[in-house]
Amino acid sequence: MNSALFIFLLIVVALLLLLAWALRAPGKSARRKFDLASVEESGRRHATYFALIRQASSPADMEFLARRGSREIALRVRKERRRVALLYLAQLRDDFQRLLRLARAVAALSPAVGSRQELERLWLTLEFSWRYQLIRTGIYYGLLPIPQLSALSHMVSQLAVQMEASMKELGERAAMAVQIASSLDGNGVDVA
Amino acid sequence: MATLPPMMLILWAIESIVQLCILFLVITKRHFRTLPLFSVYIALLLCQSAFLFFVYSQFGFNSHLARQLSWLSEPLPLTAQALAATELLHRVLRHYAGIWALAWRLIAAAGVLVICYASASAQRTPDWRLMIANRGYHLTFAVALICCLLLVRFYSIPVDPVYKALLGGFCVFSCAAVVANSLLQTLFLGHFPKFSEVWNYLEMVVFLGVQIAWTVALRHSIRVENKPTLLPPSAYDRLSPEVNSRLRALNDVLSKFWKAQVLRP
Repeated sequence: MNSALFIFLLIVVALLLLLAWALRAPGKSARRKFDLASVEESGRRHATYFALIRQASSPADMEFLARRGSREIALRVRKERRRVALLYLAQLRDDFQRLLRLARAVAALSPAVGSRQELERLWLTLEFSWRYQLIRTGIYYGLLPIPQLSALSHMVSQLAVQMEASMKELGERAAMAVQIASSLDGNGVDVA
Repeated sequence: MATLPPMMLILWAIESIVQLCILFLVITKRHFRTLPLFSVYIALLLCQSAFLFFVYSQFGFNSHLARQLSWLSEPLPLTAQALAATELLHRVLRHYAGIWALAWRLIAAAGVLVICYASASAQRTPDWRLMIANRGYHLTFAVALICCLLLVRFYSIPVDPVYKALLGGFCVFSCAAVVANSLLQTLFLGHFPKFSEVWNYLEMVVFLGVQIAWTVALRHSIRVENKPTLLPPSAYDRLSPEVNSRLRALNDVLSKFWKAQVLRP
């Protein structure tokens, strides 16, 4: 086969796959498209559970178990720690997705959006996704050690407090902006 | 018309009938009110078919003049195709001014990129100028359209199934045209005897499939959607940078999580 034909065939296959993805029915999570209220829902931000995660993965516990407990228990605990680390990762992703939903809703409902802001968000999303997948795969298959979470505790505790406050504030402000806009417009708000 | 293979004549006839059906549906279902440019595009396709029928019956299918005239008849429907697709995208994004502005920039960027490539490769092989220009057009069209559809999905903007079918059809046809044009060049250079027929059949069959899908889609009416209430312009300026900074903070957590594992002794 001619190389040009092969290259164009590859491009077309890639384009058709992208087209199929772009046109398929949105998933359940995507259907909550303009749900600004979900951002400020009452649940705590997952980053706030960091202290508990740290406790659950304390290296001292593992040392104690290795010395005093059976091998079986140590293995089970290691497995549990892995599960906890994976759950924590998944919850961090949830926090990220929630913020992203808010940002998309605000952009979609704004009369003008900045390309730089949108591009930055796209880049951050890609960066988060590949990093998340790498860490998740690493922990899941035991390729990476279960993290020494204590080293991060200080930084994450700080972030957790900020995140808790700021996400609530952002959600409230977005909802208020919608309220103001709808009262000016006189129509029902199509954000749910 | 004797030089035109019977199978191609049959396909051509079916295609014209389907185009008439689309035009009929566009008129009876009153789609022409919301999609005037799409209606013009279908009408132009019918006019082009009539023109080519006249040309082939006068000069024969394989004559040089008929080939030149058939290429000459292409720009008008292609322009109408681009306008019809833009009209469809505008219908989808008309309530979302910010995203529509973003889509326009995306279309322009994708267009400039692919047109630069197409003109550069057309200069390298002047004998295939027309074919490369045609392929460049379809590639630009497909890339720009898919970029916009990805944008629509990214922002979770609802798209009516009728619009989905029409936009998807345009895209599939353009992708088929890119493959057909590349195949034509390969078959010609490989001295394949019926290279021109293969090219014609491929384009005609795909386009017929697309038009049948359009006919099925256009039987339904387009849902009337409530106009969403837009936020005040200052809301985006205030909220967007803040959200981005929170996203960056979460990214940093993940980054430190990664470093804590990888750099661990």
